[in-house]
Amino acid sequence: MISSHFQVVLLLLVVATTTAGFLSCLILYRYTKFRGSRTRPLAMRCVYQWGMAFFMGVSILSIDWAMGDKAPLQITPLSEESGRIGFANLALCWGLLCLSGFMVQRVVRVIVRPTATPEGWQLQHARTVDTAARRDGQVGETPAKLRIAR
Amino acid sequence: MLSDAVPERFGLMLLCSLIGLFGGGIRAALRKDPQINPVRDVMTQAAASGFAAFLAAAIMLDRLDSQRQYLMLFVSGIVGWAGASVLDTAARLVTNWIDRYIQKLDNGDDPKPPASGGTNT
Repeated sequence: MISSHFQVVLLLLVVATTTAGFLSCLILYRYTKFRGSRTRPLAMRCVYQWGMAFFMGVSILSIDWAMGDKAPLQITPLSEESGRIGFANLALCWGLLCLSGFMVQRVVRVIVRPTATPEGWQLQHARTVDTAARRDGQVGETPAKLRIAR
Repeated sequence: MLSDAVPERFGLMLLCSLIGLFGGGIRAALRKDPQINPVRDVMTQAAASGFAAFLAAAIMLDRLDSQRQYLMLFVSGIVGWAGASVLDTAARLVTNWIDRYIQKLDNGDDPKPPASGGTNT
C-alpha cells in the first residue's frame, strides 16, 4: 500500500506535468498562429488545440479524483469502482474524445478549407488531374501527362 | 486513501486556481493582436489569471459555505478570466506610456533643422 504522503507527491507531480503539457501546447498553438505559415505549422494547430483540451481535462479529473467524496464530481479510483464512474475509464474516454475531435477537425478542415492543408492541396491536385482527364475523354485511364512520360 | 491526505479546502483551491490558469491561458492564445514574444505573453497571462483565481477561491472558502463548490469553481473561472483582462489592460497602458515617454525624449534630443534663409557665416 502506498503511503498518503507519496500519493500527494504523485498527485502534485501529475498536476505539474499536465500543466506543463497544457502550457507547451498553448505556446505552440500561439506560435504557429504568430508565424502565419500556410503549410505544416498551421495544419498542426488542431493537434495543439486538442492537446490543450486533453491535458486540461486530465488535470481537472485527477484533482477531482484525489478529493474523494468531497469532490464536485463523484469520481472514484479504479480499485473502488462499485457502480460509480471510475477515474481510469473517464480519463480513457476523455483521451479518445480528444483524439476523435482532432481527427474530425482535420477532415472538416481539408474539406472546408482545402488550401490551408497539405492534404487539401493533394485533394485539389487530384481533382484537377481528374477534371483534365475527363475533359480529354480519358476517364479512368492514366492521365495524359504520365502517358507521355511513359 | 488519498482523500484523507488531501484536504477538501486544498483540493478546491488547487482546482479553482487550475481552472483560472486554463481560462487565462486560452484567453491569451485566442487574442487577435500579434505579440512580440508569445512564450512570455502566454506564460504571464496564464500565471496571473491562475493567481487571481487562487486568491478568489481562498477568499470564498473563508467566507462562503464549503458546500457551494460549483459556485466557487464558476466564480474562480470568471475571476481568472477578468484577472487576465486587467493585467492585459495594465500592461498595455504601461507600455504605451513608456513608448510616449521615449518618443518625447527622442524629439527633445533631436537637433533642430536650421531656419530657412539663414547664412552659414
